[in-house]
Amino acid sequence: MPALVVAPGTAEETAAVVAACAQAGVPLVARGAGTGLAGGAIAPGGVVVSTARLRRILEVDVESRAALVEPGVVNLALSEALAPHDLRFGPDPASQRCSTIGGNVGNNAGGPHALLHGSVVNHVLGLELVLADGSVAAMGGRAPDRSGYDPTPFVVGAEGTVGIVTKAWLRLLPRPEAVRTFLAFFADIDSGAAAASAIIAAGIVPAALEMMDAPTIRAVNSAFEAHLPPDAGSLLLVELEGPSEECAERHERIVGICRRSGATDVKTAADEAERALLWKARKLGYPALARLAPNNYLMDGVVPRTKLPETLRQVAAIAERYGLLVANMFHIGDGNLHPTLLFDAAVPGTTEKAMEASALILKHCVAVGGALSGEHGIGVEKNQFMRWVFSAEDLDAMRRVRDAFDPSGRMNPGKIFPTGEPPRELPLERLKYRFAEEMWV
Amino acid sequence: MGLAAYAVNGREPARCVRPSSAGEVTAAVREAHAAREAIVCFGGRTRLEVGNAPTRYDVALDLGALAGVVEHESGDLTARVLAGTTLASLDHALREKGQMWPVEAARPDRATVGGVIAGAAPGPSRLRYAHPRDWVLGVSAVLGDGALTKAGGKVVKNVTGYDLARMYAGSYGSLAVLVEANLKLWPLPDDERTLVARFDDVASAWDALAALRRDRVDVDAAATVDRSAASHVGANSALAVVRVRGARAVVARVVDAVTRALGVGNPEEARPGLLQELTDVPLRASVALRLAVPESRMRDMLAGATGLLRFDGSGIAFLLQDVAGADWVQQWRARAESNGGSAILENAPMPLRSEVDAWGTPVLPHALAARIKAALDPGATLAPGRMPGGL
Repeated sequence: MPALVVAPGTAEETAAVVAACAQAGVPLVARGAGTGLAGGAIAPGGVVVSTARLRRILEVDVESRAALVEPGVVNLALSEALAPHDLRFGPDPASQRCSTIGGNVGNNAGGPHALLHGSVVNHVLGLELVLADGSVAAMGGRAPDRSGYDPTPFVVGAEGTVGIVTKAWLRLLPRPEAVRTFLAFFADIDSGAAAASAIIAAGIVPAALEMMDAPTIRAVNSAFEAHLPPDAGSLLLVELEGPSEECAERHERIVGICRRSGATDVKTAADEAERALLWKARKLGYPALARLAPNNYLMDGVVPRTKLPETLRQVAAIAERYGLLVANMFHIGDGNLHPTLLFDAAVPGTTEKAMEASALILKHCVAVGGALSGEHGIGVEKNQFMRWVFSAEDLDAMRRVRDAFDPSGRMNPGKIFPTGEPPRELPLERLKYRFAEEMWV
Repeated sequence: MGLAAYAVNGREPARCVRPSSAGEVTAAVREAHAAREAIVCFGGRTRLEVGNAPTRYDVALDLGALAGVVEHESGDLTARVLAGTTLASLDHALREKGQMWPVEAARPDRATVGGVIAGAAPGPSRLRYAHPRDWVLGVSAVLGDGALTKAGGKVVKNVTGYDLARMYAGSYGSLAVLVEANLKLWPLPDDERTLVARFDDVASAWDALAALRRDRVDVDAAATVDRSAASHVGANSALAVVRVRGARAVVARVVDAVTRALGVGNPEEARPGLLQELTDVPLRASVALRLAVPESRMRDMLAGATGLLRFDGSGIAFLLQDVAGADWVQQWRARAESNGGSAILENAPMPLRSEVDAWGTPVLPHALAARIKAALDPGATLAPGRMPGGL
């Protein structure tokens, strides 16, 4: 529990709050909408700085295709505000109805369209950051490559451990000329995954390429009356955007690839309403899945795209071994997995089983050349596993730069880095510490 | 090569090291760090002159032998390459599989992947593909104390630890020596055409391109030069060069739109390589001042200038002169900075270099920049003094 929650209304007030905390030697945790899934905004003590009142869009520079916004601006609200200018903010995490730009920046959020447009780090041009001592640092900006170091990409994804973002210059994208959205259904996960790989290998990068497996399809059907074929083993949700001729040509080629990979059916959104329904099903798929069992664990891992089929087989095998139901709804186009483990925590030992299964899945991701997180961050969820990916020297370099921003270590302490010894308070953290030690990649 | 070939701003190093493995880079940096010697990294030398002259210089670290594509996973659209790989040889290797690293810079036959990242090299690809750092997934880098570290990874989406890899972009070899990079690749376009149009006044070319941008015409790359800068590519009028890429049907339609917009300049097919020649122009001029100014302010900002190369739509322009004094730099710098930008001296003869700071006012506060430098290069071994504020 934090001791205090403060909601400053301006960058200056934010700096004053941070300065007061510096004087008192108190730790701080910045918080947007709290939609993060890695525990990055958890504050076991100290002061929570909420960005809820920092929600102004300060400038939209149409000609430069850039906007200056405060961190509390909601992701979707920004794109809505930009629509009259035929511009938009590229990253669209599933949480975009409530998640904020500050949180998106802190976690380097992704979303389905990261496939074509990249993650948040590719869309942040510059930042204003309040440092631990209450001073303010600007970096980067609307024009590229100004004088001196630009640690903007370092701050993106730093999960609030190096300061509190009070302003961000964002890169904006023009509205695409055409958009096409369609579904391809498959008998099983394997053939769907093979089709996804074949699409990328054919030199086509769609705007989004998503997979849902059978449990997800059933859950979405019952939650939204989505009328997806209940017997489908998997589906690919494909979206193309760009010039209309290109969309038409790519659409035809992708349908051909899907059919050759064994697609049983293909269904194209006839109009904007159908397209919206398809995306609603996708973006609210997680809440639909959450209804299937009393508890669930939504995971985030990444593998090279060529390792997808074997990784999905591994995920299924691990879940089966631990007696857990697993549902997959994820960004297959960029190899970003989201297995959701479904279980009942009331059954003794089940939570521990789920934790162990999840650790094994992540271990597999790392072993095949992937990463611990594609878009959710490390937080307190995966910090113990960081040694699977990085050497002591790698982590030391990161720590040294973190300390350059915050020599006091008071900004969102306890996140990202593995602890030197098992954490005392949280039993699950102790468990993960043990897995990290025992499982070798 | 003799040591004279490694002279930087007229100063020769005491020795030169030409490592052929990451281990040799590590050993060379560790040795220099222990001996309190200063290192300057050499790639293709296309960005070597950017920034201030290093205050100390003992060892030339030539990464040219550390070259080659280690791994090209075409199914993943990724490649792992050694830092000294030239853009041209990388392009050659990727092209066979129908892919590209969509980062363009001056002199691709010489420019290396490491140098282009470390030097945040500008080029026509900025319009559609943004910054070189956006196409870097991870790196192996030797820090100033000789520690071999990695950052990022090889997957296209990754939030695992701090993104040091992208922070090395634009650090000009002063934070770490890049040894290897994992790159994000993109499919080659189906078709490509490049048009050139000639104008009496470069401002007319700008207006035509601005109109295309307003209409959201999908131009892949664009560059303009005024009459004075055009002389570097053998032309005697202002030029607008526009490249269109994409599916065949799209290219045909966009070329029509571009042709209409550039109508006054009688657009025609450009000679092969013209856009690359324009990209090389800053290396051909004896003084090149790079302007990083918000796109929306660039037109006003450039009023009255001569010797202009602009990557329209990207917030990047160059002022090119045969001879220039410190006053000239200061005047344009004041104008750029008051417009929310910077003016950075990229090419200049020695007398001018010693008279005027290459950077002007840095964006990042000095104290934080100094702490970042000390964190990664604790002995100030790597190109000391090259960055703003003597870092």
